[in-house]
Amino acid sequence: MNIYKYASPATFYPLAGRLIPWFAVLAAMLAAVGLYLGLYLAPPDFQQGEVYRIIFIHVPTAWMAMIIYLVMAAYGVMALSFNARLSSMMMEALAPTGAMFTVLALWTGALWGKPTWGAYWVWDARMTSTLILLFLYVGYIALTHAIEDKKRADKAGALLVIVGSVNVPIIYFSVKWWNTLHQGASVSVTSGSKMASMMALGMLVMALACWMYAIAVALVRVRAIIIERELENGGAANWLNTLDTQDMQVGLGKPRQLTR
Amino acid sequence: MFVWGSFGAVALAIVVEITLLRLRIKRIRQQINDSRVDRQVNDR
Repeated sequence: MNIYKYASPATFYPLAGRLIPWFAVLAAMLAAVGLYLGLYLAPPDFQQGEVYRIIFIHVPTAWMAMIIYLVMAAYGVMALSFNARLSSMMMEALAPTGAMFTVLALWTGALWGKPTWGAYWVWDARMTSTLILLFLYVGYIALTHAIEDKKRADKAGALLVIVGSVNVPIIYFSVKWWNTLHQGASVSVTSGSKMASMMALGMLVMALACWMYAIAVALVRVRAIIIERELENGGAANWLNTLDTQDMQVGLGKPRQLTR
Repeated sequence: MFVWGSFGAVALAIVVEITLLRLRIKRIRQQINDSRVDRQVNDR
């Protein structure tokens, strides 16, 4: 099986269409289980009471904000190294979702900070570097929209994302490197979890749900981007005519009948 | 209040994102239909 054929947007388009329902259903199921675990089964915290339950949203969204940026950076490297159009399209597809997760991480963090720290926002290392991550996402979207020539826009965007990826380890290690208000890692690959098992399980299930959602949405968006770029290039006539209505399951529908 | 505010924000964000995507797809569908009609007119 030649997997490199899926590097072509025209071949990847129907594959993405077949994958979307699976990831969407997985996301919904995992979210339902995660919310049940987090809001119902997990006990209240002995110190924070019920307000700690924001962790079941805050941590998954923060993780996704960082992971999506690293995935974008990987696609950026592929786009620059192999001149791959689909890699640039995937970067463009992931950026809005990554920005959304970053906003949610900051927002839920602020709502958690007020009752626990007494402040919605402090300029500590982790929060500031996460805010910079949001600026990087928005900056990428603005930069790629500002340049008319798609190839130049993709190259500039890839460079920005790759250079900005140095911010992700800064966010992750900030609680270790600096004396921050934000707490240190509760879950670690090397030293396990410092949380109650039900809390940790709920958090991990919600993280997986966010991951599946991000993949589903990115696949929908990349299909839209593939068609938009084909329309811009004027190649829509040949390629889109080969798509049947099953391929257009994202709702692109049938062509309307000619009446004149 | 803070917990519901957090979960409410997530729900709102997901609804907004999916709505914007659906609008984008609707716009693309319109463009494709228009280009197909134009080609049919030109072919006649």
